[in-house]
Parts: sequence; structure tokens; C-alpha cells
Amino acid sequence: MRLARALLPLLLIAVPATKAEAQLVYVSGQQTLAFGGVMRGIPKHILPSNPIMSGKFEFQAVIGNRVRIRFTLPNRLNGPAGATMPVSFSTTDAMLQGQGPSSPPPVTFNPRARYTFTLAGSNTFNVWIGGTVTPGAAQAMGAYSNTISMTVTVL
Amino acid sequence: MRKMKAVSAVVLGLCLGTTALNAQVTGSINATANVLSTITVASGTNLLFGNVTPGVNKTIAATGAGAGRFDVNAANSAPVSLTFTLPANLTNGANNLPIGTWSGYWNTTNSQSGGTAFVPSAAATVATTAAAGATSLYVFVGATVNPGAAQPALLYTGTVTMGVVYN
Repeated sequence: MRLARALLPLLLIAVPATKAEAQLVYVSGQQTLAFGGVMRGIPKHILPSNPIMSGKFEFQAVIGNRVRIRFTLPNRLNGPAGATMPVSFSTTDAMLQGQGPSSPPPVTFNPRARYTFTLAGSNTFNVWIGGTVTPGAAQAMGAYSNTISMTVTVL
Repeated sequence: MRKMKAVSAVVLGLCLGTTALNAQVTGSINATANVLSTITVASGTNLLFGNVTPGVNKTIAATGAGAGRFDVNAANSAPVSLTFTLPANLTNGANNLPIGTWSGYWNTTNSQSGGTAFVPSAAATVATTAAAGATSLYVFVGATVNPGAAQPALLYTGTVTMGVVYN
């Protein structure tokens, strides 16, 4: 039986379906957590509400999205010639507020724990972070720094 | 039998239901600090009015002879805040010699020219320390004494206190 060479047509079966929704999220670092001048032996705490010195992120998702915020926090700042200085974050060192005019008041949360909430009032949010540096009595003078990361996940 | 080549291509696209694509994005910032040396303040010279005539005011300008001077040792090129506790009178026992109209002048060198004038008070005055050198800030102070017509002829003294903190 001669089988005809069959070229099966390209079959494309398209089934009408519900549109897949991609929640677009961006996270942008906006401002350094700047402890400024620090004296040996004297801890210095920056509140998340400090408009100039607190660290600041901005993120955007879709109203109604449930998102989870997670920080990657250093436990030290790195300075000259290998010197390090402890840095710590308390349970109230993070703060969150939407940018929309009907956004609720700022919410304080623990930057060392994951924070989950549902976007309401705005699709763009500011997140501020403070912290405490604890220089030793013989802390080496000079500039210290490290990196803070914030990850936003749409659940 | 002819080997048949069947070429078939089937593309089957099925989209059923809604798929929510979880998005996860990370951003970063820096955390920074600058460890500074301890601030020390030494009294350089006293504010000296010398002889004062009853009923005649006498002024010593912050940029003139007789001005008081504080010598500040702090980190170089650092902004600092200066605050003052100023007496209302120079005293000798129960006798008061009013003093006021304070003037100030700060400089990164021990000179009463080329610096910055200000009015000393409890409110902070921001100054910037020298880019190099151990004594990084000089602060000069002047004022006016107002002796009464019957001011007793005595030696009157008082204390001017200056505080310095990093900004």
C-alpha cells in the first residue's frame, strides 16, 4: 500500500483561554542608609523615619497583589585595612507606605523577618530601613560600608 | 516499502485557565558610616575687656584684640555644630557687670581674618574643620560690657562655655 507521503499539516490548535497575568514588579534602591559621622565607643541609631539618613527602596506591583518583602542584611560594615564595625537592625527598623494619596499611614515592621501584605491604595510603595552601628572604643577611623538588598516576591 | 517519511509537525497549543507568574525582583542600597576622632576643646585665650569706665560701654570684637579663643581638635574636613552657654553678667560677689551683644568668628587657621563671622548662642552654628592639621578649628568670641554709672570698681569675671559636636 502506497502510502502517500503525507505531510501532515501543521496543526495549530488554539483554545480560547483566559489571559495569563504577569505581575510586573520592580525594586529600586533610592537612598543610602547613611550613618554619617560616628564616634568611637558610641553607638548610633538611624530611625527608618529619618528622611535623609535612612535607607530607601521603591517597588511597584499591582493593586491587589499579595507580596512578600525580604531583606538581606549585613551584620557588619567593612572599613579600612580590613576593619569591621558591627551593624544591627531592630524589630522596628523598617517602614512601609504606599505613594498613592489614599494610602494608609506608614507601617513599621521587622526587617529581619519576611513581611507579607496585600497592596492597597497604591501600586508603588516606599520602604525605608534604619539600623544601629556599634563602633568599638578603639574603632579604626575611616569610611565603612556594606550592601543591603531587598527582594519583593509577588505571591 | 517505501520508507515513508512522515513529516509531521504538530503544534498543539493549549491554553487552559489562567497562570499567574510569580515575579521576584531584588534591589540594593549601600549602608555607610565614617568613624571620626574624638572632639576636644581647649581654651586658647580669655576674653579680656581690660579696664572699663563706669557708665561707658566697652566692646571687644571677635576679630579684634582681646577676643577670647577656643581651639578645637576634631576630624579634618568635618562639619561640626557649635553651641554656647553665655553669661548675662560678669560678677564679683553680689556685684554684676552686664555683658551681651556677643560676636563670634570661626576659622580653620589661628587668624582673625579669612574666616566666618557668626553670633554665638545656644542655637547651633555649623562650622567645617580644616582639611589637615591637629587643631582643626579656631573659634573667637567677643562681646560688649555695659557698666553702670555707679559700677563698683572691682575685678569682674564670668565663664563662656562652648560645645562642639559632629553633624
